[in-house]
Amino acid sequence: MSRAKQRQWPEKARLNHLWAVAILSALITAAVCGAADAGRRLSEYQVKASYLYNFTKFIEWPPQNSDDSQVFSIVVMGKNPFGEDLKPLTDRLVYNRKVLIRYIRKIEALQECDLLFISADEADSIIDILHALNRRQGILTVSDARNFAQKGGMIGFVQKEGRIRFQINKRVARQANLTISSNLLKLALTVLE
Amino acid sequence: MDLRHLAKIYKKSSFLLPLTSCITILFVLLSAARLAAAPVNATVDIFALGIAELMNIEVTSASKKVQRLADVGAAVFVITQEDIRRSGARSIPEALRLAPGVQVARIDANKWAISIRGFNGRFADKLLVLIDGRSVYTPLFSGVFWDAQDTILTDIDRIEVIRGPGAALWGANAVNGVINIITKSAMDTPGRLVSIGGGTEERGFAEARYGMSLSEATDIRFYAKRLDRDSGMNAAGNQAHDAWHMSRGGFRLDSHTTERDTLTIQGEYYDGSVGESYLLSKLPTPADPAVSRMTDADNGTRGWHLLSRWERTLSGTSGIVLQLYYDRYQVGMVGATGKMDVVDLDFQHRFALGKKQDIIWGAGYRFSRDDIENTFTVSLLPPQKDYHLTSFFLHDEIELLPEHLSLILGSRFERNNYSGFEIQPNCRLIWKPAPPHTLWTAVSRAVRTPSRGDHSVLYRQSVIPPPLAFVPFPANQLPAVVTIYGSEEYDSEELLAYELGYRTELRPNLNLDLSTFYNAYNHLRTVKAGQPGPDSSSAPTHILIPFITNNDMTGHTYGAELAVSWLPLPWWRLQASYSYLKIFMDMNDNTTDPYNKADTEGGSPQQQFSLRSGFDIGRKVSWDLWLRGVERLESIGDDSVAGYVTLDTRLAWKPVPQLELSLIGQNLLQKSHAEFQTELLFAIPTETERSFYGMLTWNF
Repeated sequence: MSRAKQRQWPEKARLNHLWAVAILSALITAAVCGAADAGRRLSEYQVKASYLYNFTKFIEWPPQNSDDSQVFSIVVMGKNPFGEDLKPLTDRLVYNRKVLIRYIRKIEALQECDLLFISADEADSIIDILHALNRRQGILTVSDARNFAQKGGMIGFVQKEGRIRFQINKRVARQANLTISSNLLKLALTVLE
Repeated sequence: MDLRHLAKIYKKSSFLLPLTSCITILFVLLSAARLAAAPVNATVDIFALGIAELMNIEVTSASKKVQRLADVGAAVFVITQEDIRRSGARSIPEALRLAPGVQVARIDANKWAISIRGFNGRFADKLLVLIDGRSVYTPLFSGVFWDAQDTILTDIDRIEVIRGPGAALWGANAVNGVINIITKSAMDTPGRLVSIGGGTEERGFAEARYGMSLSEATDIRFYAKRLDRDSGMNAAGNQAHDAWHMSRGGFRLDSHTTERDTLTIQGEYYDGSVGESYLLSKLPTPADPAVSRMTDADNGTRGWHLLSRWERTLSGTSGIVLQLYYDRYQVGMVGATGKMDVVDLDFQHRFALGKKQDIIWGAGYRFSRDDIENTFTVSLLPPQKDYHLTSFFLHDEIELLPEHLSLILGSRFERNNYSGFEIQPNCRLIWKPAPPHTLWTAVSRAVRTPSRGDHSVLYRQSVIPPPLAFVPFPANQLPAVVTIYGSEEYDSEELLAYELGYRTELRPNLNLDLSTFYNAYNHLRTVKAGQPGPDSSSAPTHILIPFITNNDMTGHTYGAELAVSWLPLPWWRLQASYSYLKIFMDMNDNTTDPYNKADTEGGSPQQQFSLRSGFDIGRKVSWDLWLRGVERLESIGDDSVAGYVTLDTRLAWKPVPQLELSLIGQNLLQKSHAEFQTELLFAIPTETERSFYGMLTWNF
């Protein structure tokens, strides 16, 4: 770049910067306002939320759970990936019990629970979390952390070809006194005994 | 409105323009946000869907970056928090050894030469490094001050290493790669953490972090860290002067202000000193006829930054990110000190176009101002300069055949006040013939824009005492000063990269990732001899032997990186990597550059490997072994560095879940080994010694 060109630079640069700002602002306005609400496709977590509700239709909990509590308790552990997607469940009934949803950070905070969803962000501590649940019966554990079912979780979400599927660990579910319908097992991608 | 008239007003104050730009953009965004008040999603009742239907719905997640990278068609490796913790690494450079293809060479206790796919050096300039979206690549010399970058390693969520030109998406000067260090959100670091440790080389470190929830949607963490690292041993076996002392403290706040908005604010302040031993050149005087002097210095390094980032999810397939940060730092080396102020505003918007396209576009502006205190040895002229960088990028991912073939077209357009307008396009193709195989290929262009050093340095590299061999009497009675000058004619260095990669899952729990590349470089940095002549600008009068920065070198490199990860048993993890690199450089005719070709060809190892084995013994104990090897450096700074193979190990015990005790041994196979030589600014390297340290981490 020659020296002569450089001397012209400063003023031209300022001018171009102003144009850049103007165009930038216009584009950004267009972007934010015009972003079409492409709500046609479902988001990943809307699908997983629906799965959670569907699982309850195919699984039998031990009778103690209904005896102990009037409420079907869903607990989300870790960073909540659902946003508000689980809220509509509170209007529905599971096993004729009202649904209550709680969000916790540490496994020690878990009190009564029927379905525990563990966030994928807790992947590093899955083994510790499942170990802490060892003694407790009647809690269905679900997660989308990697290899959840292999690590001892009951239902693990996996993504296959852009679709959400699931793997079931039948043995662990049986140990917690949960009965999984064969119809659900048939639909699972993998069933671990 | 006469723009030219406005331009004249702006000429008067160089802060006014960037400030106005920022305000305008923020204002527009805020008003647009109010207008685009999220319309309620005309929802399908998702709970009315049955499992058979759910199994067939194609989802587009609000793309966690990690997922997206796997599909971007680039050579990516993600270093997880678990990898970092189990490796025993105590600093970011050590953690970077975990990725294949990254060359990490320790120069001394506080200096590192880090690069990807060649061109390594203390001032390696082809690697872009970001910490939480903030660039730590300094425009002073186009590189990274590794002694200033640190954080509480436990709070790093992951490090994304992208090998190959990442310019199109990531930013200016990501020529050979991008390293993206991402810390955990404040929501993921609740409670108190205290970590202390010490050892033979790692004399002592203490870290503390306190995380809490300010409200249901807002979390914050505060942290502080103190680090003291010992001086090493130089090649002669003597105590060197390269200690590293650093204190830092900061905070991070994350808030889900609404269900679709996230706000992050981060700040940090650090202050420390880094030891440096260097050979200072000086003119001989009757009192002191020496032409160089070994100098030990303790350089202060301090800085602070404040960053804010707002992310809004507009829909299941679109979102925007707006980021603003201010970074200020001060460094010293070879006697000179420099201050840097950086303001950076960045905007990105992602959206789906029709059913087959995913578009990301963004725009940004960065303003940097430096202020150098010059010395006889190193000067930047003028000592103060402003740097403006405006950029715009567009990235389009097109699904040609659903699930099987994707095409990515993208480009980055930049304007900076050194080299003007730069275009960095790239094109990638991702083919998934059948799961789990993925094949990808890419062609990209990237540039390394001139640094302040390239343009304006005055570096008195060495002094030759009289009598001079090549000069006739009486001039040969004067000393000669070899001086390197920057040049305003210095051009951008250019890369045209061709890459091909393959990823697969050979068996469940056995993953393989292979990347190959061919890089063609042009306009690489050289120096060109000028006409020697007498110079009396500084006493005593001497002969000036000038060399001026130039772009006379071209060349090509090619190689491959292989990474394999295997979980043979649930409690045993194996990770291996291997990289191969060949470098061929050519000088243009009539070149007078004495060292750039040799340093570039010989400064990177041809092969590197790493093998890590991690055992989980019961529920409380873990044991890791890490064997790594680096081949010899044929020629760097006129010397060669022998290759080495070394072993690190870590044994950790968690007697209770809140407490972890660990014992780490590093570089165990030899008493000490050298890893690098410096190529410029003659800092004396020290050897890496066998060392041990212990650490206690308590969560409560």
